[in-house]
Amino acid sequence: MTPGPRPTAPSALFPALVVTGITLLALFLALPILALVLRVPPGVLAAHLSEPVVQEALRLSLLTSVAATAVVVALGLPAAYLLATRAFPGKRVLEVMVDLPMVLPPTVAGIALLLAFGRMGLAGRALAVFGISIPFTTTAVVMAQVFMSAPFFIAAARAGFAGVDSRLLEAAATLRASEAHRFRRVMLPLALPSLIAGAAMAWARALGEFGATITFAGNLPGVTQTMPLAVYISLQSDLDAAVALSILLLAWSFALLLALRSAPAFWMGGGADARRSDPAQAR
Amino acid sequence: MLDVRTRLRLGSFQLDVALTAAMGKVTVVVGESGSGKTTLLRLVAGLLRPDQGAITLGARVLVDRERSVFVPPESRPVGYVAQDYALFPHLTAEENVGFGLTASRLPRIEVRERTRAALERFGLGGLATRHPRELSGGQQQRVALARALVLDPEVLLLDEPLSALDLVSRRSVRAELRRTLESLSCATLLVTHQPDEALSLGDRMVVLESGRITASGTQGELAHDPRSPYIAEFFGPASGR
Repeated sequence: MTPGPRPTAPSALFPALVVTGITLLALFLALPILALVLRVPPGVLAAHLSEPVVQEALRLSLLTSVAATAVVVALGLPAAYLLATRAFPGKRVLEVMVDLPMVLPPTVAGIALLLAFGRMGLAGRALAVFGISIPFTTTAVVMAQVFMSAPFFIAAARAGFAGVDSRLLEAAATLRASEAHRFRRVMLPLALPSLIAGAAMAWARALGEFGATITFAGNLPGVTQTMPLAVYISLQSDLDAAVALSILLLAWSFALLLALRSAPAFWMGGGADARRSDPAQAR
Repeated sequence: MLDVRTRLRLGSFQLDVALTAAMGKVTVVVGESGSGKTTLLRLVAGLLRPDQGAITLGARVLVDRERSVFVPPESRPVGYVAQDYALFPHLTAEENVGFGLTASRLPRIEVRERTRAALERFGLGGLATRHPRELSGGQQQRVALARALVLDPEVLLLDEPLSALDLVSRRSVRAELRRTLESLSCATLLVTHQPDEALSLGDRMVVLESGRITASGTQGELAHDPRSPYIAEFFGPASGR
């Protein structure tokens, strides 16, 4: 007996599963955001955002996150360049060290920073000799943010550098360009979209930093109380204020991601054809 | 005179060559893909280090393993035009051509003058502000040649200079390339696996088979006395043999 035509159910089942999954996920992601936005009327929102505590937190968040991003870019570029272009002993260890904060619970990072730079810490005791105490200062906020956001920049920058066609770097070398010149005139411009994307991700991470900050820097309004800390504190006293702050952070993050997603189309114009993967060199 | 006597092992492949290339002449290196042609050029450019041997240019040593001399690519008077030209996609034709002059830290005015002159010489005057993706294959090749030659190299390395072109433009670009090569005073090594290019572009031929040189001489000499089946096939029925 020959089998009849296959029942159509299995082929219809797959798309149905996909659609159901997507719908559930979209609802799960959109609902909390919707709830947040619908909770407070715009007038009340504006009133909360003009409160001094909110303004202070906003100013501090902007200041520290921009400073942290600058430090991350300055210190991360050499590491990313090295990891992308060289093989050296201990590379694996450096890679893990650089990536670790990405998977580390932020409070653990905060404790580690405290044990290193706290008054009784490894480096802290030496700093205390010079009268320098870092914990519970704005500097500590920046340090916590740098610690937590560096991997995001380094990973993106490294991928950007590694994606630059090695044949272009070789061509530059045969055109009398030193390594520094090759970096500045070939690598940097071609990896720029990745560097900007990485810096933006690091900035977003620094802006949202909570656990390491509150552990290492504390929660002093005007000194270490950044936006996420202010959200958490106001949650215990004034829910609407917390919601107002949250909406601000949400809008900020949304705008940042949207800008990143739409920008590469025109950034990449020139770089796109240089970023092909390098086919094996023909002999 | 460029003198190459080197040995290099890459995985299971071994290149073991000894050849010379005279100044003002075009030495064509022919061989099937995988015979070591590009590897040879990369050794001369300094993009690869030989395991043994030396490469000298007149009295100057570019690399000598016994004496631990290695001149890096940026310090060699060698121009290298890769198979796909490797033009900088983010720079204009003018910036591409001027790249090496800028890298040599020449005064800006000199960079501009020499770049402009090179663009004119290669008929690229009107294309100075175009990016590589806005140029045809033949124009890209001229930019790549201008970019290498503006530095007045003593050795010019050309890797399959016509292979990136479509068949229609290949013939005209070949004639153009021949005129350029005839005007040069440097030693040129040109790699190809196309018989017509080998016959029309070079003064001398070197045949590379599996990393070894199996024959060298003028095209006439090799056509007359093919030393291997590959060479005989290379000249084929067209040579009348």
